[in-house]
Amino acid sequence: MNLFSLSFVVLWAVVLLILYFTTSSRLQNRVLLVASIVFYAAWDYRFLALLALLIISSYYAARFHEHRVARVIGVCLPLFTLGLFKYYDFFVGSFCELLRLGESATLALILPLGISFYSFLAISYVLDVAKGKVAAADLTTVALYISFFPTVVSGPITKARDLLPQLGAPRAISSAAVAAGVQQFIIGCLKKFVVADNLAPFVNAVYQAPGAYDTPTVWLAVISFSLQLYFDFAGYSDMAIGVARTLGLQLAENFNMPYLAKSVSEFWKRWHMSLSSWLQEYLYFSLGGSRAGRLRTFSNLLLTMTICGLWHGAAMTFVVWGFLHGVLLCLQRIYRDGLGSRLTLPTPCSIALTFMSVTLCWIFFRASSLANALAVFHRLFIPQMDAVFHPFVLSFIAIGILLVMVVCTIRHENYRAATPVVDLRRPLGFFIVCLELYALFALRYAGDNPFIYAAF
Amino acid sequence: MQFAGAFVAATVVASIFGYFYYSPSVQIPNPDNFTELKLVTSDHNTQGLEGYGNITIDENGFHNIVGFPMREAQVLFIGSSQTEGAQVSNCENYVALLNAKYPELHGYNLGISASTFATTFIRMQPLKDNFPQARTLVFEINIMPTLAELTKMRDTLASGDIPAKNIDWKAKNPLVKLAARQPIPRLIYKKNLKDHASDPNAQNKKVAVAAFDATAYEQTLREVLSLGKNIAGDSKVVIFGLERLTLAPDGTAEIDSGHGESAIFARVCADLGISYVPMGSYFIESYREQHVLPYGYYNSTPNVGHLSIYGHQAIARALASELGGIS
Repeated sequence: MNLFSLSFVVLWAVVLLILYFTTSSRLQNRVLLVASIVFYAAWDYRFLALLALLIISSYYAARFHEHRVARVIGVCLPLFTLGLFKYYDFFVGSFCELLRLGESATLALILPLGISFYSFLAISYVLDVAKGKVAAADLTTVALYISFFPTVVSGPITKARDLLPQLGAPRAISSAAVAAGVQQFIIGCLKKFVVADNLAPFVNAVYQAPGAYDTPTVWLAVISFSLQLYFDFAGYSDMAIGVARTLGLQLAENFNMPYLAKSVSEFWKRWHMSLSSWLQEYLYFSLGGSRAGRLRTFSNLLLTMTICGLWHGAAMTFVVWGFLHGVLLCLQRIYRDGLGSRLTLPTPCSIALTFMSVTLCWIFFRASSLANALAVFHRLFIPQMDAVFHPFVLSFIAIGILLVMVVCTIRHENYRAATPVVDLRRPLGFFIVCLELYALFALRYAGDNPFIYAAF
Repeated sequence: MQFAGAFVAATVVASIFGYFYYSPSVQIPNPDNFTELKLVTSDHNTQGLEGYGNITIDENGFHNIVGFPMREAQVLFIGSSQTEGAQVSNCENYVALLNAKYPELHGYNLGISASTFATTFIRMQPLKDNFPQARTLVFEINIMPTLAELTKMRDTLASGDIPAKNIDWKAKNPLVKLAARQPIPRLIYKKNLKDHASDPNAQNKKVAVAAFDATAYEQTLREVLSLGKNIAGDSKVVIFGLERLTLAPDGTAEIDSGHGESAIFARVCADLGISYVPMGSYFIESYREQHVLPYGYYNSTPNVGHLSIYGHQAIARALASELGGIS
């Protein structure tokens, strides 16, 4: 069941209608849980059992969190399932390849949808309860927290302490929240289906055969992928947050104009904020963070970011991507501690430098293999003009859209990106929403492009 | 009242946008019987996997020069939207290029969107009846016909019972006709569009799933082309295949040979005295020498979809030598 499908809209409407006439939070949670099960089963019912296993283990691990064994099981079981389904073949396959043993030991398991996301939610719940940040909840609430249908496929990875209190409180479905949520959902659809999906075919073509295109075209494709990825994932996040908003639940924003960041560390405070915050709290800080000396800080940064890369996918390209971000964060610290106080770059230069650094790293993220990534780099930095020139028009339009968003964000208080929501009670607001809907249906890409992060 | 005004205003804005950027082609039955369909006169843009394309259709429907005396046409070019010149201007499709280079050619463009070799070649007799003066019939193959299609073609040509005009989904649905101008019915129309546009290689995939019987394919093709050649009589028959290029990561290009249908066509055509011109080598030549791709535009996926102006130029070059003797 796609988030942008008639069946999903029907499910959403039915849930909304029931919640509207329900005042008890327990009953509301049960309704949402049933909807979540239906939603996940529509994707792939075979892995409902796995989801149930993680829910039950997290529930009991949190309930008996005073016992070390319970905590270990609560954290290790999600990690084990994640490792088995997502990483076993990668590591075993790499090991066998290294020793030239063939691939007989690999399992070729199907990756359960959303496993990377709901595993982290399960761990978050157990650790938050163990640390006393949130009280242990009943089974229905825990099940809903982990399997909540707008977020189960691609996040945001909302921490237990942020969502559980909301699930425990009575919620009234207000028309203002529904109007705002629906608008955020539409804006997310515009980002994903109009901008990202229309960029995808060009990016795919160039990454498939970088040697066929000239240097300016490959640069354009590389920048286009930065935009595609942002609009794709930010679009999904807007859709998920918008749906939750209509249901009376406020999820934390996942993006805050990341390409406006003046440094790589700031980028990670603006990009996929729920994941970076999760990794910072549950991994980086657990490793000691930056409080155990410079070398240890660097190793913690490298390890955290490499794991972040591996979280995205079981492939060397993602490992390299994460490691490079770790290196960039280390270099930034070295610069900050050394030259930073004496040599400060102008803000536009810092933004441009950060954007280019991140964009070049995305090459590893997008490439099908390390060789493919190196071929793209080769074409980028060894100028070649005797090849196909393809100035893809929509890339320039997307760059224009991003610039408009940047200007709007800068004008906004505290540089905090907020989804523009208009007042539907005013004719102008109604006019704008009608236009948004027309744009969505008229300009969206005619083919099918799955959400990029749904693959993780 | 104000909200109704806002809704109407939004609809008007979207309609103006839709009129210029998003009107799908509407096809109506062609009473002339020489092809199955004819496009109504219009300027419109289409949306598909290729993004947005601007198409101008003249009163004859096929990107011909306005005022061209169609009954004096000497060479008929019959094919799909590729021949029609979808998304290139009237003067850039390969028929127009050939006419400009060789005015004595009197070439006439009979390319129709959604036609295939299977639906055009069986109409050899109506073509001969409507254009008795035509000395050469040039057929385009956009997607290689399947064995099932060849079998059906053979039966049709043998019986002379040409099926009723294939008025497809575009023509039947009155909502679709409205959608040519309005964005609201477009929502209903979208599903149809998606079904048709989302998988341009669907036909190829079906072939890939079924086992390819080269012997049966060659035998049936031989029968089809023999029957067609007999109907064509003293008119010369030329067939050209629009092969696809596969680009490797290092930039080298190869012809996508599928199951080797093109080679079978070349062999059978040579035996029957039909000219067969595979375009792959011409496309590769353009790619290597001019660094251009035969398919796609700056607002669409490179190397996918309809012919670019470079593709049309390569075809014109290839056919010029084939038709040179006639002119």
